[in-house]
Order: sequence, then structure tokens, then C-alpha cells
Amino acid sequence: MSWNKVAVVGAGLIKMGELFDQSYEQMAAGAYSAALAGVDRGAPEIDAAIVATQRGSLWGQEGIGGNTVPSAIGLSGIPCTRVENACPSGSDAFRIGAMVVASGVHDVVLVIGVEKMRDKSTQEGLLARAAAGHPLYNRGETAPVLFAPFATRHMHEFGTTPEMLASVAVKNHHNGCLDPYAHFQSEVTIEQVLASPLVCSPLRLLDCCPQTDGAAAVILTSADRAGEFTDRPVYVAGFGVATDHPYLHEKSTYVGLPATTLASSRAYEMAGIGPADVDMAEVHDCFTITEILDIEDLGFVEKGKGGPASLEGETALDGRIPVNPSGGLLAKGHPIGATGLAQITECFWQLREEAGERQVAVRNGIALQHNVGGRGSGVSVVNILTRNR
Amino acid sequence: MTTPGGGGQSGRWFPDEMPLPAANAETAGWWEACLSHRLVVQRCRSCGATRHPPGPLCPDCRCLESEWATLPGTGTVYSYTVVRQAFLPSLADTVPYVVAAVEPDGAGGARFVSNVVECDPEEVCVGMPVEVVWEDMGPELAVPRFRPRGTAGDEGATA
Ligand SMILES: [Zn+2]
Repeated sequence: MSWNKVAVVGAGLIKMGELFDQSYEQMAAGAYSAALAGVDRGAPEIDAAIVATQRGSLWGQEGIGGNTVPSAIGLSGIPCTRVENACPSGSDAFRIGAMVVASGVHDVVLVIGVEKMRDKSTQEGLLARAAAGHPLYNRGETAPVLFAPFATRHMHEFGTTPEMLASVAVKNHHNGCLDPYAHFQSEVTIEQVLASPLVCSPLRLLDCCPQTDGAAAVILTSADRAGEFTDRPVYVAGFGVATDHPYLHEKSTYVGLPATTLASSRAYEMAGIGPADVDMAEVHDCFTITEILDIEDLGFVEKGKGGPASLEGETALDGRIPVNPSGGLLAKGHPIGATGLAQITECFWQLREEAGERQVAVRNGIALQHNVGGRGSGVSVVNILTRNR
Repeated sequence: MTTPGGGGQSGRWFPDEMPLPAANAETAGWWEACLSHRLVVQRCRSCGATRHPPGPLCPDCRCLESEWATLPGTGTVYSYTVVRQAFLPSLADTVPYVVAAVEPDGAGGARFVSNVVECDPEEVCVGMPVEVVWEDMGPELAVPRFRPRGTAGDEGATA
């Protein structure tokens, strides 16, 4: 391993769902408490925090700044910055937190993601977004309209079938049943997915992730100090970020997300590993097609083979490369700013073999976390974690 | 024969209540051409590379100067989706409708995201030949949509 200067010593999340009964601040407090409870010993004194919240003002929380969360969780006074970088906001906050610790400026950093998605109705949110698009064409753009043409093109070029898409939903909902923090905890069958209403062809309702409220938090410290808090830290082995054009018009391909390929190649190089070394991955499955694109772009399967690999169980809990053991965005939910940190938490538990019924086989001690999103899925972040010092 | 820039075929397919696009300094020239039912693409004055949506600088040579090249108005469907749910109440009577990425002929590989109209949404497919039609949304806005080539008495290629 080439980096491993930063360790995760605690991680936790709150039960995802429609949390009308909790305020943004209560959700933050719940995630912070969960992360602290996940520390094996001692009480880490937080030197600084990074907060990830993506929607903020568009969804009714006016003016979330660096102070909102520290004030709510008893850390007022600490340095804190809010990160907003589309769907990878939480992943990018984690990456930035790791760099802050690695720089030596702060020793113990809390990275926390909080998102309220449901306080405004879906329609209100869409209307707010409708006015926010590019002045040329993108007024009224919605996420399924963005991803559906990728599915259409993937089917056209590689023969990917609706059953293959559905198999991703079946797997992730199954995994969600084993994750007490998941928004949805019920099995679905391929037949049920294929009988669910079409949203934007070929994507059906059960091909889409829900809108979920949630919060998650991670505590980082230097690898040298990790021993104060645990005998089983998980280290940051590498990370990568990449950008791509924001609009569907200018995408170089509709059968992959090049930002993910770029981000992961940077992360693999930094970690000194390749995709075959990864034991499990938490990836961005906002739609079933997205997970298929992800596992190809991350190098787990050959381009065009993501559909058959999913259908044949290669990404199942006991498969060659388990993907989204937590249930993923499809079942666990996608509270945007919290999503990446909830995925990191799952990787932390999996590498420490604390994931209970959904525990995967850990061979090399390496986990990968990935988000992609923003306008046109133009931002991708990959973080690689390891339990090997 | 197809009229340069797509000619004058026009109609109405989407409701007035749609959230309408608005020009900014970068896209004004594109919308002005649309208003006269001319389909154009931004072309670098220095190296001739095309780009869409319009942008401030040529990604190939970094030249800041550009011009509007008139296109023949024909093209093919690169990918598409049939929208089945009315995400906005104003679209309740419009679903199902087709959102497509169209590769206009002569645009150098640039794609326009638009709608395929005047056909059964089930008939749209990747590679379908299309041609531009114009939707006048008001006195100051015309939006290019596409329809299968060969429909409505057109003598161009058949789908
Ligand atoms: Zn140029």
C-alpha cells in the first residue's frame, strides 16, 4: 500500500427513511452519536469537521453553512466547512477530510453527511429543479430521463435486457433486508420489477432508488494516532475524483460514465492495487442501469458484460465481487450528502467483519466506495479503504 | 429535398405551461436562428470543430471566436427514452412522450437533446432517421423537435 496515512476509527449512520419526525439537526446528532459509539475506546476530541449536504436551500433548509451542524452537535467553535459536490458530496467530503488529516493541519476530523429529501414533496422539488436547468435545453430535466437513454443505448450495443436490469434491484433489495439501516427491507422478484410501472423506458419504478432522508458520519485520524481509539482501524488507501461534461448533449458515450473510469484509475494507482484486488464495493446505484455501468467502469467486469454478470450473481453477497451489500441506493436509500458516508460506514464494517448476516468474504482486506452524479453524472469520486497497514 | 436549416414545418406538441428555456449570452445566437426556423450548430472560427450546447471556448484549440453553421435539419436518433409519468402537472396530457439524443447531419458528432414527435413512441428506435420540425412556443421562442423522416408527405429518406 502506498498511502495509508489516515485511518477511520469510527463510523455510523441513522436508520434511513422518511424522517418527517426528525429535524436536520437531530439527524446530524444521531449520525455523530452513532460514529462515536462505533469508536472502540477513548473519546476522540474533534479538531475539525467537514459537512456534506447537497440540496440545502433548494429543499427548504436555507443557508446551511459550516456552523449549522457543529452548533447542533455540541461542537460549536471548531473549524467546519460544508461541501456540496453533487451526488458524490459525501464521498468528496470524506476525501477532503482525509487530505486535511494527511496534511497534518488537523488530527481528528469528523466527516458528516446529512440530507433531508422528503420535507418538500417530489413535485415541489421537481418544480424547483425545473427552473434551475441550463438555459438551452435542460429545464425540467429529471434523473430518470438522464439515465434512461444510457440504458437504451447499453441494450442496443450489448444486448442488455430488462431482466438483467431487474436482477440488480432484486439483489440490492435482498441485501437491504439484511441491513437494519436500510430504507426498504423487503424482497422483490424479477417478475415484480418487470411488472412495476414504467417511469422512463426502459426504467421501471423498481429500477429507481427512492428519495430518502438520512445521515451518516465517519471519524478520521492519522494512522499514527489510530491506536488510541481502536486496534482495528481501517486505512484510506487511495482516492480519485474526475469530472465530465454536465449535459447529455456532450457526453462522449452513453454506455459508460468516463468520470468513473478516470476517478477509479486514479484511486487504484494511488492505492497501488487493481480492481481484481477489491473484496467488496459500495457503488452508486441510483438506477439499476447505473450499477451496471459502474461495475464496468470500475473494472470489475468487461465493458458490456455488466448485465450478464449481475444476472448470474457475480455481484451477490457470495459472488466473485459483492456489490452493494448494504442494499445500495436502491434499498438503503439515497440521502444525497449522507450517501457516500453511509457507503464508507458499510465498507468499514465489512472490512472489520462486523456486517452480520450480510458479511462478505474478506480476502485482501480492500473495499471500494463510489458515487457519481451531478448534472449529466459529471462528477465521480472513488475512495479505497484497507485494513492492511 | 430538405430545406437548409430544417425549413418551415411547424406544429404544437407540448403545452404552453412547460418550463421554457431562456437564452443567455452564450446561447442567444442559437435561439435567434431557431426563431427563424434555422437549425444551427456552434463552430470554432479557428479550427472548425463543432460543439453543443454552445460554450465560451473551443475545447480543441481554445479559440474564443465562433460562428453559427447552418445544418440540413436531418439526423438520426442516438438514444432515447419514452417518458411515461407526468413529472410536472402541465404534462399530464402529453405523456407518453419521447426524449431523444439526436445526431444532426453535418454537426460533426455534436448531439441535440430534443423530442421525437408525430409518431407512436413505441416506434422510435436507435438509429431512426429524423428531421427537424419547429414548435413556436410564443412570439420569442421556437424549439426544434424531430419527427421520423419520411412522414407527412416528406419526400426524404424513409424510416
Ligand atoms: Zn477550435
